[in-house]
Amino acid sequence: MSRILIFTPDVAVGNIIAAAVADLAGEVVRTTSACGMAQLIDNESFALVIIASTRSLAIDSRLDAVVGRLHRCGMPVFVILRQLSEVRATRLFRCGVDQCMTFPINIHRLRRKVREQIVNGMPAES
Amino acid sequence: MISLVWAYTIAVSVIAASIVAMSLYDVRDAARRRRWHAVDERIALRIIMRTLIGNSAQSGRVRIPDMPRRGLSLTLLHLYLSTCNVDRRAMSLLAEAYGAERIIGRLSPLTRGYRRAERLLTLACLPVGRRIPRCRQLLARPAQSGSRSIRFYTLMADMTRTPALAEYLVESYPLPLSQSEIAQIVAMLHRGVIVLDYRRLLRSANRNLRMTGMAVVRHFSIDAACGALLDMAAGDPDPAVCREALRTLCSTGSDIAFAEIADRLHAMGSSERRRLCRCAVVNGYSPDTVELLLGERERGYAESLAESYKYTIA
Repeated sequence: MSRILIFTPDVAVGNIIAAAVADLAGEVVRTTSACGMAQLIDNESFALVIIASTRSLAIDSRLDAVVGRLHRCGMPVFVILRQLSEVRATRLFRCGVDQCMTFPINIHRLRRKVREQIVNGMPAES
Repeated sequence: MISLVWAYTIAVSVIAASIVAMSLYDVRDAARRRRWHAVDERIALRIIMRTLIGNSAQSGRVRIPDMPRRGLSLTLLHLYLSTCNVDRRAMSLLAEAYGAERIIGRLSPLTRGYRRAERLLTLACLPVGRRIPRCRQLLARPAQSGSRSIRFYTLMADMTRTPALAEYLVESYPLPLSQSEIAQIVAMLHRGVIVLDYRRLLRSANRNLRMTGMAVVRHFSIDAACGALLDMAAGDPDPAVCREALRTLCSTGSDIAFAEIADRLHAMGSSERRRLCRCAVVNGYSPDTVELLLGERERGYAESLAESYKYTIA
């Protein structure tokens, strides 16, 4: 049973992403704190991790470390950032992020990428 | 005789008070029943997603989440503001099935403050806004509110209602648009609610239109606009427009013809030069380019920025 972890400090955004991908996975787990996310990935395994924020991700170094750890564990990571964050996105790709998207998100595109990642187990092409 | 009149008056008062109390009780009871059966935002979003993603919109059948008016209005607003390319026909069906006027709520001349701003924003976001006759009448009045948010959301609602007049509406907006307001207009363009031609905007004499045009160029990374941007950076009488043109040029990542804008760069103050230096480094220009652009003084600052943990040049 595939499980998706969604980390976002914005509750409303988390609700929207969870509702968009709920039927693609067996279970959707949500957390709003970086510590909570670190604890979850230490104890459990997920088919996909989605990190989203409409604000600037101020915890840069911690997020880079978490993304690096996820990549080493073999868990695919999707990141959804604010617009005009190309430098941030480049840095995250170097840490091992599989897919970078920006707000406002296209629900159909997000679902297609999540479905391809979960079903085929390989990074979706943009 | 007088006692009969008094008795009659008292009896009528008691009956009227009973009727009012029973009506209030019914209203309270109905509200309580609605709250008990109402779903929370997460479940409402799942119901709405099934309509937006599934095939029920094509058959015209939609399921409405049982929610209080304000809850559903805020849910639809969050959904609209966080996403793009949402099926507008499905959103129209949802809004019409629930009742578009119910979602938007009372928008009377007496509605003030954040409530008016929120309802105007909802009116701007929902695709059925133009078919609500009461709102058409209210938006036809000039925006007399002192609140900047209300005036701007009135502009957004007007643009949603008459997208063909978007350029005219922005031109006739009385206040200079801020960066966040321009970003919201560009977001409407991104969602396909309005149509704007960046070439016409850049050539316009109106400041708001020029700033919006530059934001469009930045958002969509339109390299073809570099010539127009150089002309604006070199010769526009408004210093804010010149700064914005330089910033937009840096964001395109293209080669900058320094000779054309040398005079403007020499006339800039130190804080403006630093801001331009940061913008150039963030967009990937090397310290050599920054030195050509701003002189040797800024090269050290550019190098420190490029080497700091804040910026990474790919």
